Order: sequence, then C-alpha cells, then structure tokens
Amino acid sequence: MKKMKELYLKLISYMKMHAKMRSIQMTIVISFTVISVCTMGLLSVTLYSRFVKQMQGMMVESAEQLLNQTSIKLETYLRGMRRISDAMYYSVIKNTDLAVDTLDAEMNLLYEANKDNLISIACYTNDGRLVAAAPVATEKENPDITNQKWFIDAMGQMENIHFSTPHVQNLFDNTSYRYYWVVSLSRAVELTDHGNSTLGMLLVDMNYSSIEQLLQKANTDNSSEYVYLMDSNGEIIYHPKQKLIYTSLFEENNLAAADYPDGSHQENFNGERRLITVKTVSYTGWKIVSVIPMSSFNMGLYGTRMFVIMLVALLILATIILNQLVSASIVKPLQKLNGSVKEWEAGNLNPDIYVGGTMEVEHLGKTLRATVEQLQQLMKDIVVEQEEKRKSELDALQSQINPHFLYNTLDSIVWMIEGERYEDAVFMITQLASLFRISLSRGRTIIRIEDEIKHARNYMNIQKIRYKNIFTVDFRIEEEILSYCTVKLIIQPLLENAIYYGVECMDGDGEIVVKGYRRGEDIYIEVCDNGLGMPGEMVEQLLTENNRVRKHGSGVGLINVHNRIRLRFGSPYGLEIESCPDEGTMVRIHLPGILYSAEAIEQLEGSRETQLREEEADE
Amino acid sequence: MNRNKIYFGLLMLILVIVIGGAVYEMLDAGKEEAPYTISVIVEDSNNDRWIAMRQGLEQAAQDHNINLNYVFSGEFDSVEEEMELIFRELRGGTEGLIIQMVSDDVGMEALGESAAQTAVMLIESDVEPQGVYPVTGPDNMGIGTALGREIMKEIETSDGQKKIGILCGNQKQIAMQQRLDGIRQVLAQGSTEIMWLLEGSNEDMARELSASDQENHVDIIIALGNDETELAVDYLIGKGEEGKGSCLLYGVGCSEKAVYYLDKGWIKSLVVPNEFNMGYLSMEEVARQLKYRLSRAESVEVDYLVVDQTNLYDEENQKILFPIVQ
Repeated sequence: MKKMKELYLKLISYMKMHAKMRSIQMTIVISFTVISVCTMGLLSVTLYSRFVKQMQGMMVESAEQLLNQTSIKLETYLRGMRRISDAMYYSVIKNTDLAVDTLDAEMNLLYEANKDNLISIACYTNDGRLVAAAPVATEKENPDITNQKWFIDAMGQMENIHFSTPHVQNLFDNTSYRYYWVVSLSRAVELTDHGNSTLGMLLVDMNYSSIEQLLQKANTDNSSEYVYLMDSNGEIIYHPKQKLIYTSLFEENNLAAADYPDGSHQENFNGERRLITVKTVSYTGWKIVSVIPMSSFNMGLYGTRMFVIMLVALLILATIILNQLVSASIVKPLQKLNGSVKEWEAGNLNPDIYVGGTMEVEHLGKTLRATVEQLQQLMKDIVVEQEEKRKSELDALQSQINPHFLYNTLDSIVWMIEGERYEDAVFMITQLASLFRISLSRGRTIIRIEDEIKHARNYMNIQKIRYKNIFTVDFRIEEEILSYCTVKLIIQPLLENAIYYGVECMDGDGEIVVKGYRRGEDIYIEVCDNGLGMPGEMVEQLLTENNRVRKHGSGVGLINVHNRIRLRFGSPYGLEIESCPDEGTMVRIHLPGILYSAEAIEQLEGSRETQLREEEADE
Repeated sequence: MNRNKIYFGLLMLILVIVIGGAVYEMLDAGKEEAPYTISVIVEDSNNDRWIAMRQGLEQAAQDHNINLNYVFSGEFDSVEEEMELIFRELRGGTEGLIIQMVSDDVGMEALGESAAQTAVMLIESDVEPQGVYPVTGPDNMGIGTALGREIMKEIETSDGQKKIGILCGNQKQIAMQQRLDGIRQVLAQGSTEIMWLLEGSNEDMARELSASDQENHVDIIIALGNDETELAVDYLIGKGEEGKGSCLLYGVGCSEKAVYYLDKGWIKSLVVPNEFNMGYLSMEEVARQLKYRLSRAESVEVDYLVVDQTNLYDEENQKILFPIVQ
C-alpha cells in the first residue's frame, strides 16, 4: 500500500514536471486526445456490450423458436403414435374376442398405414406370449419379453402409456441381419378370451430414424450450436454426437440439464461456457435442449469486434490529426509571437514582431510592436540626451580655457608692448591666433595629430614667454603619425598640468618632452616632465571621476581628456599615467591608428551629427 | 519536441497497424478454411465390417471440416495392388492417408519419400519396420488373449482335451500375428490341441476349412478376423443343425452378420473391436497433424468388447454393436 502511494506520488510529480515543460500545442493535443479517446472508448464499450446483449437475446429467442418448432413437430409425431396405440386398443383389441377372432388383419392395416414411422406393432399376453404382430415375422427363440424394460415399465404403471429410450429391438428374427433402433410405446391392455378379460401388453415400436430425422432438421447448420433430446431422467434419446457419447469420445451435461426448468440458462461445462435453452415436450416429459457454446457466439461476433476496433482506431486517428490541426492553428501564431519576443530578448533591438493569427493574438502582436517601437524611440532619446549633456559639459569646460588663458596671455602681450618688445608681442599674438584657429577647427572634434601638435606648440610657445623660459620643451614626433586622427585639445591640458604640477615650482630647469610614435596599429603620444612627480596612490586617483582635484589651470583635468578619448574610440583607449615622486611624470595618450580622411571623420562624428540633423528637421 | 514527434509518429504507426490488422481480420473472419482431403484405403471397402468404422470416419470428418475420400476397393490380390492405389491417391494430391495395410512387408521406404508431405495413419495393424507410422487399432494381442480366455471358460466346464482349429486370416498382417500369438499363449495353459491352422480368407478357404474339418474334426473353431468368422459361420450353417452342435465357434468381428449369428447362437462368443472409435480417432489424429503442422499424429489404441448371447442386448453393448443409422 505504501509502495503504491509512493508510486502514485512519483507519477503525479513526473506528470507535473512534464506538464510544465510541455508546449501549449502538446498540452492541447494531449488533453483533447485523452478526452476524445476516453469518450470514444467508453461509448464503444457501452455500445458493443449493448450489441452483444441484444445478440445474445436474439440467439436465445431464435433457440426458443427452434425448440418450439421442433417440439411441435415431435409432439405431433408422438401424438400420431399414441393415436395408433389408441386406435389399436380401443377400436380393435377391446372389440375382439381372441377365442373367436384374431387381431392380425386390423393390426396389419394399421401398420401398413403408418409403416414409414413404425417398425412393428405387437400384442403380448401378460406372460409374454405373442398374440399378434405386424408385420408378420418370426419371433425370436427366446425373446424373454417379460424382462424387457418396456414391458416392466408398462406393467408398473398400467394406466399410462410409456415411451422408452432408444434401444435395439429384440423381438423378431430378421434374416437380412438387420437390427432396428426403436423407441417403444407400450401400454397395458385388456384382452378378451372366451369372454374373459386378461391382462395383455400392446407394443408400438416407433422407428428411431423418424425421431432422428425430425431432430436432425434442427441441426442442419455447421456451427457448433446443436439441439438434443433426452427423457425426463436425462437419458439421451437423440444427440447429433450420440455415437461419440456412446463410445465416450464426447461428453454431454445431460444429467444436469434434466433438472433445468424450461427457459435459458448459462452453464460451465468442461471449462466451456454455454447457453442452454430447455423445452419440455408435453405428455412424454422429454426435453429438447439447445446448446450454444459461448465460444461459437464469440466467433460469430469476431468480425463485428474487429469492425468496432477498426472504427475506434480510425476515429482516434482522425481525432488526433484533427486535434493537431486545430491546436496548430491556435498555437502557431502564439509560437511566432513568442519567437519574436525571444529574438528581442536575445538583443535584437529592432525585431520583426509577428502580427497575425486569431484576433486576440493579433492584438497582442500589435501592442507588442507598438511597445517595441516606443522603447526604441525612448532609447534613442536617451542616447541623444546623454550625448548632448556630455557635449554641453565639454563645451563648458573648453570654454573655461579661454578667459583664464586669454587673460594671462593678453597681460603678457600688454606687458611686452609696454616694454616696447614689439617683435615678441607680434610673435605672441601670432601664436595665440594660431591656437584659437586650431581650437575652433570649424567645430570639429576630430582633427589631424599634426594640427594637435601645432596647437600644443603654439600653447607652449606662449607659456614659455609667460614663464620666462624656466623650462624647455622638446617635441619628438614621428612623421608618419601626423596624418592620423585624434580628438582635439587633448595634449594642451596635459602640457598645462606638466607646467603647473611639474616644472613651475622646480628649482632647476624644467624639461617637458612630447613624444609621438606608432606601435602596431595604435598611436601613442607621451607628455613627460622631470618635475615633482607624485606617489602611486595619487596616480590611481587621477583617472577616477570623483577625485578630481583642481588647483590651477584651465580646470580641464586628465579625467576629462581620458573620457573624451574613450567616448570617441572606445574603452581600450585613453590615458595611462606613470609617475614617481621627485623624478617626474609621464602621461601617455593611447589612440587607435585611424588615418585622417573624410570617411573617417564622417564615421567618428557622423552619428551624433546625423542625430542632431534629424532633430532639427523634426522641429 | 523531437521526442514528442517520435511519440506522435509511433502512436500514428500503432493506430495504422491496428486498423490494418482489424481490416485484415474482419475480411478474413468471413472466409471459410478450405477443407483438407484425407483418403481412406482399406481392403474390400464395401465390406459390412467397415460400416462402424466408416461412421466414425464420417463423424470425425464432419467435426473437423475434412473432405473424406473413402476409396473404393475390392480385395487386394497383392500388397503391390494396394500400394498402387496409395500412390494414385498421393499423386491426386491427398493431404492425409488412412490405410489398412494387407501386408506388414510393404516397403514403406518408397511410401516414405512420396508421402513426406502427407499425414499418414495406419489402422488396425502396423507394418515393418514397426513404429515408423502411427497406428490406430485395438490391442490385437489382447483380442487374442480375450478370445483365448473365453475358450478356456468353456474348457474348464467340460471334460477331456479339446481339439481346436484356427482360421488365422491374413498372417502377413502383424495384427493377425499378434492375435494368434495371444490366443496361443492362453490355449497353451489348458488341455487343448490345435488340429489345424488355416491362413488366408479367400474363397478357397471354405474348401480348405471343410477338408480340414472332415479330416480332423475339431470341438472349437477360432476365427481371428471378421471374414474368417463369417466364413466359419457359413460353414457351420452349411452343415445344418448338426453344425450348430458339432463344434463351438469363437470369433472376432463386427459385421451385422457376425452379430446376427452370435444372436442366433451359432457363434459362442465374439470379440468386437470398437471400429467406430478406430475410424473416428484415426481421422481426428490425421486432422490434428494437418492443422498443427508441427505436431505428429499419435498412435491410438481402441477398446474391444467380448460379447455372447447373454450380454448382446446389454444397454452399453448395444450402443457399440449396432449402428444407429440404418
């Protein structure tokens, strides 16, 4: 019991698990199919059982009809035999005094009229002497009449007519070696001899073949159903397999059947279920029995059973196929919609959302498509917004260079003019003009490295005059990198830092070296100074956003340069800083090697400009 | 998903197979099986002694849906004549053979090759080498012994040595040899003397019998076969009332004539093999072999009755002795 419960729980959990994993289509198909199959199965079993019962009823009815017909024929036949006996007794024997007349003439007449059904008619005295017989035949030497069963039976109940079971007639000699099977109808009679009444015996031997033929007609078909006849004690009178029964090759349940009342009964005989119908023949008490083995009944139904199986299987097949089609028509649009969502999930931000199928699914598809479009728009807006924000921040920072630097430079120029150093003032102004020209660069963010270097030179030339040449600047730029792209104004802030934090406070001569070279596919520009340097912890903080320290200069910090480079070229690029206290600092700019061309500029700056242009057009 | 497709495919396949099978069975259910043909070859096929056996054959043929071919034959002059008849049936495509061989030395090897695909059953008597083919018949040694015992009962009630003449029939048949052996074994135990022993059952036998009896009159005649019994009865009747008292006849037989003369008192005691069963069971066994090709027909022994005038009409005896269908 416990094991059964465990098994049941296991089965339930297995089904639950699989139910979770199963697709909608499979669930629909399985559910519909199970319900359909169960219904059809139940319906088929019910109808088949009903059909079988009806068939059984019809068979019983048919058997009863057959028995009734056979019984009527048999009763007619037996009544005829009794009439012969009655006629012989009441019309002949009772009216004849044996001392005066014989019975032979009338007896022969009666025999001749019925000889098809008769073997003989004989009359005996009560001590077994033959009085008369028809046809005329020689009596056997010692037939021992008084010990024959028919004689004993009739003597036992003299008021009745007795029918014997079939036996071989043992009365008359037949030189053609013939022995007849007969059914004896015997009765005690009153013989008159010399006016005295004596007891006698009248025997009418019916030809057994007549009874046999009569019952054979009920056993004409070749099926295993048959009809047999027995007396009230169960002694077989006729059976289609009589000889087999006599030689013990076949068994019949006749003794049990003798106790059955008229009607239909089911019995189990020798391991076989049989349907028995019994009909009692009036007066004789004989019973006609119809036997229908259930196996023969089932054999008859075999074709029907196969037809039912075929029909059910066909219906199941059709149902499954229909379920498949119906479920597919329901589920396919859902699956397509699900596929679109999966595509979206996988990272495709512009998925082709399926719109179709039933009204509900179509509505879902449309809603989802609208949602995706809305989301795309929102994301675009966010990108543009962020870009704008960064740009405005940059612009604000860039704009911070000008007033401070311009003030100092102009102050220096004023100072030069006052000191009548006009040539220096001209040089200073020229450098300043060049610096602004490059700064502007017609609004572009991406410029040639050559221009960036030139901008750095201009700036350093101005600063050197301002700082009265307390430091030296050395540009060591490889020629080949000059035509590559860079974000503008990235060297100048580094130089500014090198001046303010490196060499301004030095006692000796400050040295700033700007190196530009190519390694592999990438471009490197280093700004090195021999200034104060800084400890490692400070180096780590320099490129983190929230630790920006502003003491001097334009305020355009390293972090700003670093972010601008990464914004344009991606995270692998930007600044690297190496520094050691009292030895100096090296800041390395790492850029991708992109040759300066219209396509490159378009590619690097295009997306933002396109967006801006689109927005302007919308407005 | 793939697994689901496999299950779905399997389910479809099973349903299609079920539908196909059901359609086949439905169409097949209406068909009737063609009956097998079984030929029966016995000597002198219309002899009355075969009536009961033929009834048995016909009943079994009806019960097992067999086409019975009861071959007409007269008395065989030789076993070759019978073999020719057997080969004719084999050539005719018979599927089963039930044969009463008239000789035990028939060269069954030749039959063995021709009848490889045919179910063969011998009735009444085996052939040499014994045990190759199944045999349906009575215990012939037992018949001889039973007959011997009946004679011994008579001997025990009378004085002096009894002279005995034996009509031992066709001694080329193992059955008749066994019956003779059986009777000899029993007679050896009593004070009897076998005066003559006549083989065969042809027309000359009547003269031989007459001559032998005249030369050496015997108290008891024993006939080991149906024909021999009828022959002896005819001989005794031929002698008139004197014949009835001159010697006692003990025989083996089942014909109506033999039973009739038992009833009339001409035959003292008769051993009757159950030939209905012999016919029925031999046919049933051959039908079984044909139906279930892997099984082989088995030898079957049938019973016999010992009847005399007193128990001839016993309820049980008359059921076996007298054919029901007239």
